[in-house]
Amino acid sequence: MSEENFILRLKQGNQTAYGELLNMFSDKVFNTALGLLQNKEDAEDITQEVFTEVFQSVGQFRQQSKLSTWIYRIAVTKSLELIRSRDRDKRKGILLSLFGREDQIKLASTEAFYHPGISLENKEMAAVLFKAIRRLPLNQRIAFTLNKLENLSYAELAEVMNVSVSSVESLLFRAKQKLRELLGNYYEQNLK
Amino acid sequence: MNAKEQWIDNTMASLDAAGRAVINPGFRENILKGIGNSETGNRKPGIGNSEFGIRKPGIGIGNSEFGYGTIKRSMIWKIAAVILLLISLNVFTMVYYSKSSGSGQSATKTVASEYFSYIDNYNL
Repeated sequence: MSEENFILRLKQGNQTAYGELLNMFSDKVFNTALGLLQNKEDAEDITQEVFTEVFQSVGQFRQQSKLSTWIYRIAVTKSLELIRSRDRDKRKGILLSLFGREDQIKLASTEAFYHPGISLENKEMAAVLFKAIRRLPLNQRIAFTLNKLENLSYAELAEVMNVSVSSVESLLFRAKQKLRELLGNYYEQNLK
Repeated sequence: MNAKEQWIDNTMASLDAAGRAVINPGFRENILKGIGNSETGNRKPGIGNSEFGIRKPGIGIGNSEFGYGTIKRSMIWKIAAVILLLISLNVFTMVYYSKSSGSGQSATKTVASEYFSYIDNYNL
């Protein structure tokens, strides 16, 4: 079945097609959200929101990109919205603490994140790496996470992020540079 | 290669063979049920195309395929800052020129006469 026929069935509201879409993409969306948000509950919430958006908006999908690209974009956008909202809460928390309203502070978790797909021998190092990834600028974080966890190629990343392939190369290069610097600092402070 | 560089290389490579995290299969059923509810009318009225409910604009990644709708909060703040800047510049200019022209009029009266000149019509 071609992608065009599949999209047509989705636009017609075919429930079987919805089920197939979920089977094809739910793990990809969940893994993407989990990599970006580093929290299982948040990733599940975002996954639900993504598919709600997909099913509500598929009628307006103009097929200028592949279905997978479109779904990845929605997943990344929704994850970014949550990250930005948490950052706003953090800034509000800092302001509230100045006025002694610590009881109203809801800070993002700073706990170590253990990705379920990482092997046991790499879990601790991966947790340190994920902590460093949180400190990357958002675009670098997206590029690095999708490249490493979803194995998206440079061309696929460029489509999802709507940038050129050379921009993706640059983002990944800078992300790796920054991560190496952060890991170096971590090593000096904790492991030396 | 020293121990530090080796550790950094190993850590950077720790995600290389990562398996994909798998969502709870029961969760898929919940999502389908949720979609089923929205199909039967439990959907908020939309802005713009009401058939598909409220849609948030794409944020942050280039050109959004799924359109634009609300204005971002940061844009509102920027617009407000620009308006405030323009008003401040206007007030500063009026006060500066009223002083330098030696009209004898106070700064407050200058601003008031420019912005609220309609009050003169009421002989207050």
